[in-house]
Amino acid sequence: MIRDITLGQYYPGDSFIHRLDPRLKIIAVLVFIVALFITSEFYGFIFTAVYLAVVIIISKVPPRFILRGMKPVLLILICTFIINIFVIKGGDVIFKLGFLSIEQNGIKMAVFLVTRLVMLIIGSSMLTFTTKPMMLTDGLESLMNPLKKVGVPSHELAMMMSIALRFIPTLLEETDKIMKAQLARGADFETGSIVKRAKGLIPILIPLFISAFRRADELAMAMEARCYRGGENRTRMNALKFSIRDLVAGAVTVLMAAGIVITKIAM
Amino acid sequence: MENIIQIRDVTFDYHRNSEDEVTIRALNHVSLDIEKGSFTAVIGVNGSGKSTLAKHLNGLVLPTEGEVVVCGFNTKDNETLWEVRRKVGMVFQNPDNQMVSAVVEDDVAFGPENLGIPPQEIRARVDMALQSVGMYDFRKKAPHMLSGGQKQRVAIAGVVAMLPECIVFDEPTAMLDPRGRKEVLDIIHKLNKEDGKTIVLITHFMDEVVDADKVVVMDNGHIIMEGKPKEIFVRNEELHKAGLDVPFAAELGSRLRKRGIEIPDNIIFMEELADYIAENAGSAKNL
Repeated sequence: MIRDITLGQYYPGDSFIHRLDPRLKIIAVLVFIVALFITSEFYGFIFTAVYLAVVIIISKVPPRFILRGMKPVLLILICTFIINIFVIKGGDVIFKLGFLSIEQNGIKMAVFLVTRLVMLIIGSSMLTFTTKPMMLTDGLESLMNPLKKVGVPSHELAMMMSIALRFIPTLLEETDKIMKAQLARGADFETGSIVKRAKGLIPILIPLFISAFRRADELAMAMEARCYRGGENRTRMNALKFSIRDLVAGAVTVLMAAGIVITKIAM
Repeated sequence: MENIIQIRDVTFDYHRNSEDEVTIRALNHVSLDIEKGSFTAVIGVNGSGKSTLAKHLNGLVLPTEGEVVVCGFNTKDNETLWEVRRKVGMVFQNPDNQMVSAVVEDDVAFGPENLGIPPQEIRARVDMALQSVGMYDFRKKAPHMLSGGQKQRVAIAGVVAMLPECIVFDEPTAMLDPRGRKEVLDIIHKLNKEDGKTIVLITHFMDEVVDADKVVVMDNGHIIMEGKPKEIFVRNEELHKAGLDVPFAAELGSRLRKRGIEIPDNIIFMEELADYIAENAGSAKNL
């Protein structure tokens, strides 16, 4: 059934990583990504790899779960590897066939870039694996708050994200219902050319959009009836709190970044 | 008793769409007082103006003519509009389209959060509200995992947590199955009797209004009848004209009367009718 689709990639748990302040996790991921890009030699990856391994172990997210998350990007990884291995020249020639040749630097570069990409993807998905979508939006709102002064509507953006998250299952259910209704009237979504199948989606999308707009209208009224008037003077039941736990995690992240910067300068 | 809401000669016109010159009159010189602590049921067929009337009670819709006064505040006054909405909560027909958050307890907290209440007190109010509708055990669940009746109970909790004096229910059971309907109606009555909330129930189910203190019947933008349920249900001919059915017991009583059997015309509950027939079964003249 369509409603069984898991939303986001949250892996339920109660580990140290799960309980960290979402704001800290977002910043840590940004630092991690910058660290990956600063690194220009293999040994630099030692810091990021150890950091990532520690995070994965503490979070208790099973490696199988992480690898499954890599599936959609596998093609990109393979392409990156193949392009680099043939394009980058230099060093001993290892393999030659007509105009194609693989040279030592090509292999080095290909392995280097794929390692960086893999760590980048695993690192950023650790954020979504260990943070509930609602916490993520809360964290983003809080981090974007200082940007309010320059006109970034941080509260509104976060509210939009959380409403979208709330309505994904509702709209999926509705899509399912519409599809069944159309199938019952003899619609065919499975056979025919791509164009024909794409056209077949129109009778699903139009009712879905109409109902989504109607829902939006009703929701807006219900929110107004509950005294919603934007982010001004609003309080939160579960305000984000920065604890000692977050301080420790932050310090470790800073150490990892410092390690990379120092080795880069020293080398 | 003091009136919590006063509707004074309200008329509401709207255009079907922006180009259309013709205005449609949804409410036509309607006046109504809602007593504090009372249970008022507003009944009428689709298009009778009952939902439009409901939306006037907390300023979601403003009257074209006339005025609505809630606890002394005119809904036309922008300064006090939020005070009006805090005092008069509203539960809508579709439970799905009034839930903001993907977690039950966060949704209940939405209203109090908007009022700027300190976090600890929000927590206490959310727990209280969820307990009062019997949904405390579901507080961490996602709304789409709940049944229609349960979702509507959460929506009620969301309003209760704002501690309103009056709650307007706009056809809250129209989309529910019989079991969900009963759950929701039981809670509405409990809020009225135990917590002393003023209730305005908009519905098109006749049997939902028999327990009300006052029934208001609407047709075509007018209030055509107003009174105690017993006073309303004897006028079944007029109700039929407005497209409404009287509750089964009242209908049965009136048909028996037509056949020459003496049944008092103030009997509207099934139990009452059954008891009356049982008691009088011996007297041959009547039955």
